[in-house]
Amino acid sequence: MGRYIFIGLCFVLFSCGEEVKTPAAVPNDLSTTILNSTETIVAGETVTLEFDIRGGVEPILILEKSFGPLLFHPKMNDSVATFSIPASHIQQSGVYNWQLTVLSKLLEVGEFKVLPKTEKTVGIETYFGPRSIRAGGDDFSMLFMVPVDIYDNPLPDGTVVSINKQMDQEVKVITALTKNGYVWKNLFSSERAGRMLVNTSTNNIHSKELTSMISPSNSVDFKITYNRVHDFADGNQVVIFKTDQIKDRFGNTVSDGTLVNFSIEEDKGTILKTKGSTIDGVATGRILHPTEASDWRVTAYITGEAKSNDATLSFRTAVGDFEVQFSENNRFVRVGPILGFMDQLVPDGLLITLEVYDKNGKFIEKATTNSSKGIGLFDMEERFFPNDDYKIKLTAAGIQREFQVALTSDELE
Amino acid sequence: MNWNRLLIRIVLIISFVGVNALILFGISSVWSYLNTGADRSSRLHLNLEEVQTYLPKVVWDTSRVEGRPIEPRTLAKIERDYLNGWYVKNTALFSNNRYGVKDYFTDSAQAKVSKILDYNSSNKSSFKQTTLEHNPKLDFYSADGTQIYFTDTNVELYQEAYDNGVPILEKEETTSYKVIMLLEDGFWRIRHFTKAENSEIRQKQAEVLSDSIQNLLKNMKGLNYYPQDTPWDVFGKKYSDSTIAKDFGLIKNMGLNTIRIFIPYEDFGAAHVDGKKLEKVKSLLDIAHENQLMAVVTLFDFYGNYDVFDWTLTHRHAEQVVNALKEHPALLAWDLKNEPDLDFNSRQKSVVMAWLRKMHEKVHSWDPKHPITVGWATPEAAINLSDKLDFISFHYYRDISEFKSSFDKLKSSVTDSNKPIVLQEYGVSSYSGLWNGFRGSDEYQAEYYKEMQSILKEADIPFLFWTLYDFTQVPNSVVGWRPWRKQPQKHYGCIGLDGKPKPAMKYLTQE
Repeated sequence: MGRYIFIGLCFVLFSCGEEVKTPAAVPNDLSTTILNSTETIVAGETVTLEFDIRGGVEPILILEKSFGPLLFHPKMNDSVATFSIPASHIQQSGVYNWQLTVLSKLLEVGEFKVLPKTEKTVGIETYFGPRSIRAGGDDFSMLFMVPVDIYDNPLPDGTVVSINKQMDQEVKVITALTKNGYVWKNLFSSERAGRMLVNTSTNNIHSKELTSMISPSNSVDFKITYNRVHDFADGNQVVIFKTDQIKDRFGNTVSDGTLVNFSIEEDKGTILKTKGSTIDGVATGRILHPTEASDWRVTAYITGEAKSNDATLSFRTAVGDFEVQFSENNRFVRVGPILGFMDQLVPDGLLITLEVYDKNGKFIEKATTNSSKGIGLFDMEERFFPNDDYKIKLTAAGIQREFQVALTSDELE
Repeated sequence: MNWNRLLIRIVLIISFVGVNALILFGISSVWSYLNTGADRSSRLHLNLEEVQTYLPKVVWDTSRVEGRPIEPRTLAKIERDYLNGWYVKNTALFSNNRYGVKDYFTDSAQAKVSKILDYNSSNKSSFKQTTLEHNPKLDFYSADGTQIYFTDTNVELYQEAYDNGVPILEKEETTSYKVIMLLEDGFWRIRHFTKAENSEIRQKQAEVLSDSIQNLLKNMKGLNYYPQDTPWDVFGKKYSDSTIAKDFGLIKNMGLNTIRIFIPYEDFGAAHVDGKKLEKVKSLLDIAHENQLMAVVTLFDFYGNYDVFDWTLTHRHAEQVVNALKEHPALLAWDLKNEPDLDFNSRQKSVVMAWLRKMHEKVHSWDPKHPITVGWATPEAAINLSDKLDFISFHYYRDISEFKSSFDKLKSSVTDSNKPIVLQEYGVSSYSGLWNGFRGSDEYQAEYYKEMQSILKEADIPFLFWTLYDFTQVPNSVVGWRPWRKQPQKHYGCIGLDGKPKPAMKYLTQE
């Protein structure tokens, strides 16, 4: 029997059940008097709120700060409830609301204001940007400042912030007043490229140095010159184009690396391009001499900003007439030796073109070769050119020679 | 002897198989663990979808921005991060866990939040709060686009405080905050956040219902409407204007003047209401208007989570529905929620009531013209909010004999004696079968309505009976799966499954 009682007891002890929370009733004789409250204090002080609570209950205080609420239990002394809120919870400035409650009943509400601790200013948050601007006085870097006290509270409105701005070898001091905890100023560039150095101070607290780069403004039109070894179109030497020192309208040399495009228009309408980037405002562009006589007109551009004057230069043909020999039933063509402007063998690589037409003048084939030691060779094999009369055009360095040849085969074979 | 050997063999074989199974299981768990997160598409978190869980109403004032004009895209991003900041702070204050705070507060602001969380955690207190409205006025946006200042005015905050898990106070407050935010690694983070005095306090004006609406409410005669083929899913795929038109013609011919319809919360898209479904509601209301029927629109059908963290989502839902339908001539009244008192036990009465109070306030602010009610499940529950609601609605499925006394008790406890009290749902099933011991019948139902209608007529009580049709299908979400509850639910109509009027029709048709 005892065993059954034990099992029964276990059931009773370990059985599940919903915990029933019956809220205690609010006493009828509940009354509250505010004994001590605060209106305005400075951050980091303690606050004591005292209430006289009749009805034998212990109230709870909810304190709503900027970032969230806190809950406090009182020290009861007879009917006097004292809430001492430690200084560590009164560090943030702003409005604090409090509610006194007993058993879900709101008894009293109130608020106090916590001011920032101005005499303990510890820093100025500074944000400076954009950090790269252009000269000329239209562009600016914006300085955004939030002076804060020891508890990281923005200082009250009307705090004087002075801004030191070093630019063009002089220091200017600007003062500004905070509003809503912050202050901002646009610091404009001058006509001179360089750096703008800024620092701020308030209540004898100084910020670090901030820098903004002032880069030159848009370039203005400039001049170009060229330089070459000779004026022969030998396809071997390099022409060098050079700008003068490119500047903006305030006389600042443009930033290194500014890209300059040189555009060359040939007399036959072809456009050639080369480019260079500036170092100390000067850009150089290089291009190979042409292979035949031509006239060039050169203009340089900085895209979207400036252009140069037109430079014209002409090239003379570097090659005189040349010999052509036919052999092996006219099927083997030897061009040259081709001689240069001072009777030297032209540098290797001169382009020689062979064009073949039938006897009615219809184009059949084009072949190219490059000269080697002044000589170019063509082999017109029978497989491609059956025995017949042909017209042959040979072109080298812009010089053209024409031949009427009969291609035959070796009868003996 | 032999038995012993056999036993040893069996034990050996079983333990061998068991050990092998364990080893294989171990290897496979290690293998699958090492493979988690290795999916290429998930490695960069590229396909993360943003789920909006916090949608208080935000109205920006960008009319006077210093520094630089704000781009709408940036403003949207700031709003998102600012609200996310509120959201993580709200959840942190409830759980006293810092999850997510790092993303939306700068280091120094985080320290201040942490201090509060640490104190509350050690004090075993927690707070459940949500903001419902923000009116930020953007004052400053920096030239390089990385700092902003705004004053968030009239922030409507609702808060429940818990001491050691026991609710101690629920309160609402309207405050203003001075906010400096910084753009850091792609997040707009709160840097300074200072509570300020609230400058303007808006007055809520109480409006008195016009006599014409009062008359419509007092002369309400009608029914709770669902089509025969699509009960509890009026606005689904099978919605058809012709069915509605036929049914409403019938209702009009019965001499009735009002219908009650339901807007399911999840089905309509929760916080992002499906415009197509709203069009169907409008079309239904158009047909009702053509048939001189007025409609009581019941919001939040099948909604059961009244949690504070869910408030902003339900508010956005109601806002869209109310604003879409409030100008419709066939709209008679808003019913905030069907039978919320049934959730008192599972969701706590205080939670449900707080949700209803706030929802009432919000719906009234979006549409001050139409009366608002709540469809309480019993006459006893209908006393809740009776001072706030424009008219009182209750349901009655109990014995007829107690009806009059329950009604009189309710009427006497309502302070404003002029407030209409509507019997919003009543009726009896004609079901006769195994699950009710073959007790019901069409005649039984007719008898019920005969008696009931005479009581209602005598006491001049406006009524909406349940319902027009018998149904073939009843979803489990309505009364559960148990057949003794589900089967009767199919036979509450005054028109049978064959489309012919049941005897009760005689008593429900008005002269």
